[in-house]
Amino acid sequence: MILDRLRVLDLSGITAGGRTTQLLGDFGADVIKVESPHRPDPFRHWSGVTGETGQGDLGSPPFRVVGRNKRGITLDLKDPAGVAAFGRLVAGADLVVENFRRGVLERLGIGFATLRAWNPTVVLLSISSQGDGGPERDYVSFGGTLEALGGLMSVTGYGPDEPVWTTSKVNFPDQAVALLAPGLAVAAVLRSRRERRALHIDLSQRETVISLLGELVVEASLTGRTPRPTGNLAPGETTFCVPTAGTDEWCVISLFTDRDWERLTEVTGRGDLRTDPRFADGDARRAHVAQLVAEVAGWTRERDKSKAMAELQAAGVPAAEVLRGWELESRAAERGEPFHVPVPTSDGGTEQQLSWPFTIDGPGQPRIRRRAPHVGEHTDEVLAGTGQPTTTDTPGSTG
Amino acid sequence: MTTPTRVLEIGHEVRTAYCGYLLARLGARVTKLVTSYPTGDSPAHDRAAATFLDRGKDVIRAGQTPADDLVDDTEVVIAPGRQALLAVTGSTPADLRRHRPDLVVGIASGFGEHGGYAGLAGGEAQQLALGGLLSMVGEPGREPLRLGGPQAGHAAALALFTAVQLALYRRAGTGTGALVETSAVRAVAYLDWKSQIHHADDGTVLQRGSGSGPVVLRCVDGFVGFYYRDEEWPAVKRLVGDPRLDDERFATQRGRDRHRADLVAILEAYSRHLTRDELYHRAQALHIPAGSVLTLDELRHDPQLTARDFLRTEDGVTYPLAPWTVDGIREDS
Repeated sequence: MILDRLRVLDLSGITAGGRTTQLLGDFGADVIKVESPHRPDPFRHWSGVTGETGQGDLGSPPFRVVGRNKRGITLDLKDPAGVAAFGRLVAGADLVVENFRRGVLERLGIGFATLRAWNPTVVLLSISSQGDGGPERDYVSFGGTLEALGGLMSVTGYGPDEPVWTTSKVNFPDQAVALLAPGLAVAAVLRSRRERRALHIDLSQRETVISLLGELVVEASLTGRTPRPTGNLAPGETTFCVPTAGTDEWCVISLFTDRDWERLTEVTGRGDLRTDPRFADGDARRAHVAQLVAEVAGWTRERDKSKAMAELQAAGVPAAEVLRGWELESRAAERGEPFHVPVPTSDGGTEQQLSWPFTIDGPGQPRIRRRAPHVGEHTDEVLAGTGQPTTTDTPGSTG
Repeated sequence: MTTPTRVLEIGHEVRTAYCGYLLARLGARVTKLVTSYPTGDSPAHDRAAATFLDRGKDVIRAGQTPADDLVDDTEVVIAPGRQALLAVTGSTPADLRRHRPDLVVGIASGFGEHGGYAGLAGGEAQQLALGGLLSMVGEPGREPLRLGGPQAGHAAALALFTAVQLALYRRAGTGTGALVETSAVRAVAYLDWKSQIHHADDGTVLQRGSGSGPVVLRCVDGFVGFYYRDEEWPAVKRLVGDPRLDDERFATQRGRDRHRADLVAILEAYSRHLTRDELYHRAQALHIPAGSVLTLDELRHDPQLTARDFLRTEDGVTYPLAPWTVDGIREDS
């Protein structure tokens, strides 16, 4: 596979780190998830999305996704024997990934200097909250915290007094970081092999969020105007969601040009709107977008969102049905572009999961090799594979 | 961290420009080949985007230098679609790789170049909608909301960046290049993976909205995203110090969600007398993962970002540097 010869020790918990190493595992890396026997990854029992924790250590559906294609071991890193065992694993690893609070790694005695002593070409990828320095380096965060501190909430919402975050259901910062971090990690591994030295990459999640708003940061400094939430409007376009048939079903329409507007009025049979001064040009349409939605909704409410999109697109109007995550699978299959894969479950069945965010042609295609591990499921196998004492000899390990 | 060293970026689209931006932050020499480009008369947002995305790149007009020469001098070519690649270089990905088998060619389209979405009209909002993310942002009973900034384009760029690195990893072992492809729709769908897996698990359909869990609290000078989990609830009670929080109704997360309006009223009776900064630091002192809702101009004066030298101002323009450091050094020229 593409990432053959890449061994990863995954100390991370919850989403950003777990999703990062999952992608590496999907493409062939040997990812070993290292957990405390006393405090396994809390993502195994995550109730932050539905309020339910699920049954057993694989009961959390999101954990089953981020845990796939990994082996799981337990080591008590507060015990010298556990640290020694970890050190022997580091000696044979290319990459260590962690997202502890700053300082925890050093307190455990496995800071970068120690890792480098064990393995002079290892890469440590720290996915930190606010970076490895600064007065707030020790502060704790989840995705929502970073949407606030990173400025995203200040430009997302229905209006200036209603900042909106993506909530635990999405946790946008974690997901964006987990798309960037695998590439950054691989680039670092290639560099460490080239330069024959260890590297410590510190990826700040807060700074990543700000980077994703870089255009707006620059614009604010150029114009002196502070960007504020504007609903679905964006510079140079009149974008709005209109309700379609059904409950909470929507179609999103964007008008980039006057021609888009003319086409919209044609396909909806509302040529009368072209002479309405409220919609005379782009600025007027943006200023009266609520009225525009009310006018167009008479047409869209008579159609389901899929049909509305098809008719609008056929007329050349930029439009799309607003899909929910669960609807993507059937739509993708219909258009011959599947991106879901069956993943084994612990009861012997399978479940469909999203696959990977890109394709790479040629040999070594990504695939599902194993389901997420139970706590410590592969401790003996992994320790024995490196010539180490197994659970009977390593305090705090569970096989 | 120069991996790769030379990149040819085709066109002027966020999907490729942000990928090229990230590669440039790693130290790559990025040449951007465009047919049109913002000028001094362009709208401010277009000029701002170009200023941010193209920092450190050589931007040249198509036709100034033979495209073949540029391809010969590069390791990676990234383009926002086959058509754009063909229009500027006169070549398809297959043509390029026939000529240069070691070349990594990356395509990040908006809607995908195969299947039923290919050729759709639209932009960011449509890509967010078809990828599922739009439906998850906003409040129930109100229209779905896009995120601030071009996040569909950025998602595609992040996916392309990682795909290119994986292709380079394989090339380091085999000497052979690759064609890597993504789309904004696909990358956005990858971001909203929790909706998919919860439905696959037991049919749960996640709904957008902040009706459960963490809350956004009003302060004297704005808002704080008051993130907390069940395990931080005792600390929340200590922070606020209001005996009404001892009410049985608030003893569990389910109860707090059920009586959310009452809960927020009690919490805001506390927060409304504090500045964002005061609430943020007091909460963090108790390990409650709260964060002030900061505007983009406030970021410029933020003590943490200043201490980390993350934002730089030159000639009146403020821009963020790379969001990572290597051995404690921000290698961003």
